[in-house]
Amino acid sequence: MAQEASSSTSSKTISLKTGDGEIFEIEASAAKQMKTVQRLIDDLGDDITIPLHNVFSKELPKIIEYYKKDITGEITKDFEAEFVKDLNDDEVKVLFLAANYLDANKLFEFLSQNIADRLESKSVEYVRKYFGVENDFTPEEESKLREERAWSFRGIKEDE
Amino acid sequence: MERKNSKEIIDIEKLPDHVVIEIFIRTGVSDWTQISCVKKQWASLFRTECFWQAALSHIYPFTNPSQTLPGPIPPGLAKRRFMALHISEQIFGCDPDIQVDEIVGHGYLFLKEQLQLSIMPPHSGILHGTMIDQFIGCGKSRDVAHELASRVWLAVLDNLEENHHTFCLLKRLAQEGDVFLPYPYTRSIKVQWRVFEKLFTDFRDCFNHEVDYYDMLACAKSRFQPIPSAWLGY
Repeated sequence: MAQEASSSTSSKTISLKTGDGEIFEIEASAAKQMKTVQRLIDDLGDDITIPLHNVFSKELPKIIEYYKKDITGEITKDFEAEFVKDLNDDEVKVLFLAANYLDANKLFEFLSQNIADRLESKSVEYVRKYFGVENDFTPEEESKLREERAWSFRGIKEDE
Repeated sequence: MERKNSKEIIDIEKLPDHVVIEIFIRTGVSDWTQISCVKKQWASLFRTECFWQAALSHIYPFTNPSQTLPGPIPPGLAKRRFMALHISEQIFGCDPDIQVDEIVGHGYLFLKEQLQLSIMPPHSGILHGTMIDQFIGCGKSRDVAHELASRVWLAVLDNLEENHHTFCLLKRLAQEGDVFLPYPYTRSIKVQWRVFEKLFTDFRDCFNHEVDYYDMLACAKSRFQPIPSAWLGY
């Protein structure tokens, strides 16, 4: 029988279980920032271990670390720089996907920006490799598209 | 497809459009050409209203998307408004006193389209007058409207494609007078100057007949005293 949330909710911890079976604790106020988790809590109650099938033990601690800082209002530019400093491209991608799954808006926006920064001024091939996508353009199609899409001041043309 | 560490990760490729868009709008305009060439589905994202509205609210958050601009030049949908803001930034980029104003960009888009895309553009007086009416309709003073319109003319003239159509257009612009129109509906001297300058420098080789060239030179001499020697050189 789930009780009405009282003022003691803020000091309560929630148990999260990753897709590979590990359990982590987070504060209820941090859980609030992850809308997917909050929805599960609303459905299942806050005494149950919340299952997160698509998040794993490698990335969840990092996410928890981020939101620990967030609830104390300590997220600074320096912290964020430090947070991503040693992450390779794959690790950032995994965190990004997890943030999206968890509907954790602040982290999601931060990581979107970080991925965008990593792609800055990179070639098309690099971007394809980064996302693991196949090219489905013919060379002619691609060069035609490039012509149309010169977003610089000079070449702005209408598509519609 | 091999799965890493037997995890069932949702690939980035299968993410919904609005999620992938969040990354794109943060890379900055200069990378969008590259990004749209990655795959066809991504190229098509750049034609969606969804993308452009996201771009507007992230990059130009101060604009009100539901606001309609008064005046004869329609602002259009999110993409056109974004382009207008982007161009306004570029035209006035170095000028800290002038705030990025969307209507300047709309003026640019309007004028460039009319000059470049129409087979027979309206008289330049009409085009100029439309811009002036637009700027005044949005609350600018006559002086400011005149200055903004000049800047737009100069920017458009500098960005016309170098082809025969432009050459013919420039000749026409050079010969169109607007002496009977009241200020601010007359084009500024610097705009008229730039038209002749382009003809005699960038487009000098397009003059097929000497008669053509000397006629134009005579036209220039009747307007400007003295004319630069660069205009006389071959």
